[in-house]
Amino acid sequence: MSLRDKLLNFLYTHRGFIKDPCRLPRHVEKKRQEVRHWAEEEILPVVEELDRRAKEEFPWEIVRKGAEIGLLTDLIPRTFGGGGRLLDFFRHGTLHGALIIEELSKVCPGVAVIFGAHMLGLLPILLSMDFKAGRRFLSRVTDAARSGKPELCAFAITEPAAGSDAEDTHGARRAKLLTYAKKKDGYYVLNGRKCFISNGSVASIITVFAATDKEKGIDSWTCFVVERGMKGFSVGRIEDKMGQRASPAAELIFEDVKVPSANRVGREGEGWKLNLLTLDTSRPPVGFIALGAAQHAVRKGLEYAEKEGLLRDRHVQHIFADMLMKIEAARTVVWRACSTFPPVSWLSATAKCFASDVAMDVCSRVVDFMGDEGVKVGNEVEKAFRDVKLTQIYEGTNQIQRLSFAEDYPGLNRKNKPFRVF
Amino acid sequence: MNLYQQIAGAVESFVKRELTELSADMEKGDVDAWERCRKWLHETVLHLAPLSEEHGGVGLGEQELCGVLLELGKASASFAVALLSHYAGIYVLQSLNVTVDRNMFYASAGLLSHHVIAAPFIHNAVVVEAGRVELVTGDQLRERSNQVALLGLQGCSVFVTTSDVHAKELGELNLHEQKHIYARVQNLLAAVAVGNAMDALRIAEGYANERYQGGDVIIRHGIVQEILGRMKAKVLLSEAGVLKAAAGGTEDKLMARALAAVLCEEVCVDAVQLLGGYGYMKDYVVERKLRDAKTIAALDRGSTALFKQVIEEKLL
Repeated sequence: MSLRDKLLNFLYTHRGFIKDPCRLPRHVEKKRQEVRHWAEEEILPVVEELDRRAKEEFPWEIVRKGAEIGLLTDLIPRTFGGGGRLLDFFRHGTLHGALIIEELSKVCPGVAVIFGAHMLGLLPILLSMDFKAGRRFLSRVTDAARSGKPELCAFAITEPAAGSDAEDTHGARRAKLLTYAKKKDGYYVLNGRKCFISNGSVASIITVFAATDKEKGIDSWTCFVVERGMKGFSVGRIEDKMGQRASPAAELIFEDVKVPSANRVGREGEGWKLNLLTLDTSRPPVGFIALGAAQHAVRKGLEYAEKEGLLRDRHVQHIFADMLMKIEAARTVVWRACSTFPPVSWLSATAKCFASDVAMDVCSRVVDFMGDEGVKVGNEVEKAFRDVKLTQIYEGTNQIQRLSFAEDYPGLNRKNKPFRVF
Repeated sequence: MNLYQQIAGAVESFVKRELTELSADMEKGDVDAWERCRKWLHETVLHLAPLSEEHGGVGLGEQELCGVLLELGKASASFAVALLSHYAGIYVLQSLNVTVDRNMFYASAGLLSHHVIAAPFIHNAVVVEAGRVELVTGDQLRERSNQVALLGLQGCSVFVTTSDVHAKELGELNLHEQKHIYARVQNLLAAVAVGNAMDALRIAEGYANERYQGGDVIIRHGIVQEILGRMKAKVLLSEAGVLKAAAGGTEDKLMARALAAVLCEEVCVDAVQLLGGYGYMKDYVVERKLRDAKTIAALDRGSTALFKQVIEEKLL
């Protein structure tokens, strides 16, 4: 056999494995395996109960265990006691953290959102580069995680009359904001309410966005940290959701809450900028939450097909190939968006919107494929269908993602940039 | 006013007056709410709607039954499907010339779903498997079979029969009869899906007219208008297909069922999407509409398999 023949044979036998652009550094892959193992061993057996008893009990035990393996602190730089390297953010964006979230989502998107919403709550503090706020709150989170009594964070922008408006540049100017912070001597008086806040009822540190000037509205938006236990702060109704039930979504009420000026994150009026930066950073990982659930649904569908002896049917192979192709394509764009730093709005919007649409389609098709078995409560597939729907809604509905895309995509916006050439 | 018009009027008034309000309780399995529906069925004799007049029934045709189930499906898909399961049982018994007890509530398995989907007040279940028809009592089902919950249609009792259940053999349906009844039942199921989607559309339209975003009610936004327009078109198409198929053959019925289920699910997905965070919460009915729509679409073998089945059977 000539050298050419040998090489051709080698390429033929090893196609796809010579260079994989999605190969991860060894320590990240190890962490991913560790989380996968933990989720399958300890979360999977209680998933059904978490789904059923969502409003009664919060899974603190899972949070504690998650804190032990660094899920609450990996994003926080080592300067503040966390496990993250500052350069990682520049080199890999949020990719490594998002892949961990994907692993959790394969088992339970609700649990993934508990950790995801915590990271979302941390992001304004991190992105603001406000060292004082970082030292105060990020260090507190790492200390708490180390002590075995973890503290969670939450991110609060949505208001009863301003959902999509809080996430869309054009709408925001005309938003009917209800949460205001009035500056006094050394503190702010916060009044208003926020709704559908993930982790809202259990978080100790909440990054709240409020206008400081009623006239200026969103232009005066400022980020504050509201701490659990502050006088005048209370949790209103805890929502009864269709899915992702392990993660509570709550209404937060602020009645003359005295927030010290030291709790302000960044400068006054920087809220809108911080909000958009935070959302652009956090949207791509939502794509991973959606795709994690979709992958799990496909796995369950395949198990069913195998049990029923359907896997050799070309029609069935076609159905699964179609679903997996979509997942692979969506995963590529989400991977790219997560790896980009600083985040690019149109890319983040594409990742979140495309991946959640794909995941919804895939979960719906798996349920349909399994027929009677697919809709049975407790089979994990119907849960994936319920869970995935929310990924099309939170962090800006997919309609808002399209507007964000249109706003930012070169050549499609008003900035007169030339149309993007590939 | 003919008989059907009277029935349609009674159904519409019950839906508006009571069923819409009862539906939330029915989903939670409230016995009193289901009992109220049972009484109403007795009062209107609607539980005997598909039974021919010579056998003491009302003798409603398929299109008329579609109308009834569509209307009920607007308020409670659970109730409409439980009633359809009862109708399917009557179809089979009629086909086998077995006397239908006017006071009994039946359910069926093998036509609507492989499971027995029934109202909590079920007396007997007609189980069809490979043409063989058996009768199982409700008590037997409750004691000896596995009871499961479904993604949607909650409040209905869903049983997975086991070999432990003693059944009385009633006879055999030939393949043609079985296919015919199966197609009729599936088309009626699609009518429930259409009713369910119509209500989701109504809620979404109402919300779009009230919700302010970007300084205006969202119905004035082009994208919302397009979504609502698509939803309307899908509902219209599904309704037309189902009603036309009611007068058509087996193939038409199965195709109408498969397409309507898919389109109506899409309508409900869009309705939840339009309501955003509110749509995802259990306090808003569209969340239930979506679960019901998905369950209806996936019942038996699901829409994907049905599309394939229609052509496959034609080749045989």
